[in-house]
Amino acid sequence: MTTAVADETKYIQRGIPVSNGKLAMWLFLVTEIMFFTGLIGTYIVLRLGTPEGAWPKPSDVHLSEALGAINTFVLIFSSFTVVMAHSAIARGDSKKCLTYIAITFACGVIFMGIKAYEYSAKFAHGIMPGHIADNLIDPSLRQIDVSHPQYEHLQAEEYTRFIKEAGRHPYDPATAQWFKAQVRQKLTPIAQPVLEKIAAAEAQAKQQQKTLTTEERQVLVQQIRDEARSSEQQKALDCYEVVAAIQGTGRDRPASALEIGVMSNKLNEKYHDLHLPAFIPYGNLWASCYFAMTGFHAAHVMGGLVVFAIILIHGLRGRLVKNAWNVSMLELTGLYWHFVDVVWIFLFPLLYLV
Amino acid sequence: MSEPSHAAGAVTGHTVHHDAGPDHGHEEHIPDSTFIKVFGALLVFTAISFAANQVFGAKNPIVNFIIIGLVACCKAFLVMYFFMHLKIDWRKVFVFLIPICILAPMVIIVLWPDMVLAWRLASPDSAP
Repeated sequence: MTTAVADETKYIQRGIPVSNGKLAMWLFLVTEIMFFTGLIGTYIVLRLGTPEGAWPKPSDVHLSEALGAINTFVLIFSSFTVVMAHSAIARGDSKKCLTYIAITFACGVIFMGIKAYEYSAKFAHGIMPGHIADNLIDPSLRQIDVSHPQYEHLQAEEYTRFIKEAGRHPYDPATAQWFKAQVRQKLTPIAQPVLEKIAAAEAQAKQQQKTLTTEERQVLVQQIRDEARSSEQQKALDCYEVVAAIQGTGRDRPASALEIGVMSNKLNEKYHDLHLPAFIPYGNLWASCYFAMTGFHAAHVMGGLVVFAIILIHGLRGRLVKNAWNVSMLELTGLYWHFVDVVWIFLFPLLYLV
Repeated sequence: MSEPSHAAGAVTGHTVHHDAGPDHGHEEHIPDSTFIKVFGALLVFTAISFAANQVFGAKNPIVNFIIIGLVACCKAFLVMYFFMHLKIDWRKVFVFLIPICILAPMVIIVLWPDMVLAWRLASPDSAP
């Protein structure tokens, strides 16, 4: 009889020397590694498959390195607090464990808050898959004589980068036309006061059997600029210049979609309420990758937050005491949370730095 | 959150539960001081990747990529080895992790010829 009791208490080891819970968690994490490898791997090959230097830089897509770094710190710190919570419960220090879990939960909320702010900035700038005009670079731009006074501006840094890409990047004349029409439609009402003044000057010139020359028009615009006092008037002038470029006023031909793209990007930077369509080569590809990777990562953070909320309630009810179940539960939750941290460790440099 | 006794993994009296397993109660233990050091190291590595980006970001993207990539691998290693207890559990879970360490890079490698090399070769700049 004594022998039988002894046999019952003896653990019979079969297979891998690991508990069922930990085995299940590691198997789950292995599938998760493959899931994120698919996303990150796709991003890497798409990015390296584009011509050198053509992939959007973090500044092009309004990504703040500082915010990314803060989120990295927050997630690393939360990983540290989880491991300390596990250590505390293993020692039987329930109060400390609960404090660490509360800090971890707070870190997760901060991470999600920063991510929400980042997403809202992307939506405000129209940086969403399928919403970015990324194919405006007309290959014929390479043939343009940039030393000609009219195209001198194309020697500027913001243009040379794009002109270098001309011919290496998909160009769609229909999108280019759509883009120019969209920008013109949005800017014309704002530029109306300036347009009206110029129309009045043109009517006056017509009465005198004359037409307004390019130089006279430039003098008039400069005069309006000098008289502009309010920010609204300044804004109307800035918008007018883009509308005039689209119309081809004072030019041999209307400005190319690339020029309008660069101009509208500058306007978007200056006036955050304009929400003109964004011009970013490879922007749609970038946005698809960005939202897929960070979106699924954020969903994992949310999942972790739900678990931490349950643990917090559990602890506030006084049930977070040292026992094998609680120690094991915190260890497994920690494993999941550390994995979420490891994914971010790769996402942060890939998206925000290199 | 209830504590079902049949899944508790606890040894109560003479009853051994299924989830107790042989790793119940670590024989080896990572001290808190190690976790603090690892946390400090992670912060230092993050600062290094940030600084490398400032120094090499625009000048030498390849060096930048290598430094930042290596730093990210070091950070991931630290988190997995200490925080995820692989220092203790590696010999128990290596059977899952080794195939993944082979499969994950393979996903990228098999896409490389069609998604990276083909486009590079097709670029007008690379035309003779």
